[in-house]
Amino acid sequence: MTTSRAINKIENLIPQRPPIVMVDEVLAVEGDVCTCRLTIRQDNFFMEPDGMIAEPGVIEHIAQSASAFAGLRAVEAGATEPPVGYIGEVKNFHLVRRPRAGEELTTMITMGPEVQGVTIISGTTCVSGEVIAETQMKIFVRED
Amino acid sequence: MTREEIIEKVADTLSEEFEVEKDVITPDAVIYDTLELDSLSLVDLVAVVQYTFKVKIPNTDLPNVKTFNDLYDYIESHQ
Amino acid sequence: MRVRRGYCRDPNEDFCSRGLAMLLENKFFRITDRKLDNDMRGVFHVQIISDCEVYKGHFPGDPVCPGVCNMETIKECASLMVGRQLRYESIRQCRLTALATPVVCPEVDVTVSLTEKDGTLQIQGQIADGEQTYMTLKGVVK
Repeated sequence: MTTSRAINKIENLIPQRPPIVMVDEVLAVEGDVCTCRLTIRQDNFFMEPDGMIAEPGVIEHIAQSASAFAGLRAVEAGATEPPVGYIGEVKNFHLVRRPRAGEELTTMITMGPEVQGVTIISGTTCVSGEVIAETQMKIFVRED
Repeated sequence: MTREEIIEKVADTLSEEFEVEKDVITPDAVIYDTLELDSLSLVDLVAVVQYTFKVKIPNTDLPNVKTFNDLYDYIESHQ
Repeated sequence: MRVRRGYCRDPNEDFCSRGLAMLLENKFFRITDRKLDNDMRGVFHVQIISDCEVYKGHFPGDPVCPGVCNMETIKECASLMVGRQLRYESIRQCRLTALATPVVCPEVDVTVSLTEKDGTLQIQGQIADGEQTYMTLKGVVK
């Protein structure tokens, strides 16, 4: 998995801002597949008293990773602002375990077909090679 | 795939994916209504056809695929 | 799998979640009323807290409820209903059918039902107000 160009700073790729930025960096892009990274910090918006983040936080991480991928493609196509994408549907989400503070999530996003602004994506999130969650999702980009 | 095989496969996969009875999938029936599609599930139709028949229906062609007959024709001519 | 009852005997007891530290309750949403049929089915009338910090970043100058926060809200209402912390093990389908924001829908009804089936606890949730349905969800919790 290689990428020939400098991957943009995350703020250029997604519209979300603190306290709910749930992807740190796009690591690599190859065709319809993109790999992203997030370190789970103690101040994560979804952090629970037991030191792990709530499972919807993992879904948001996957959604924002897909959004960063779409943002990168838009920026490369000359867009000045990252597109604002919403989760339209989550399908077949499976959680193996919730990630702990300090762990680094690596997520692989596969971009599927797009019809009238709705794109199917699938995402698999790992911690040091162990799958902790996976899902399919539809991201809806509002053309405004 | 012969046309008959396409018709059979379309009935099998779409009835399962969209949870409708096979017998509602008839040549002249309108796909959008029969499968009760909406803006969110329309993309599933494209995904299922692409996955099952390896035929990609670009957004530009989608409006021409109204009935199941149109779908059989499209798959037959693009496989 | 028996649903392990929390200590909350009367499902309509006003505050049966004394010990349950919910992540988003009273931060993202606030429960103002609840009508429970039993501890497996109920409707929670909920306020969306418009000055929740999440709106600083989702999105600056354009507050939109994150879909995942609404998913968490459904699960937390279910947890309060059975009196113990539930978590999503899987979500078969969750559809966001209309854009929810603190302006568009400051108050919503969260309908939750739990059923035990083949040894798992299945959850069905819906968020709606008089005008719109914003979310429907089908999943498995444990």
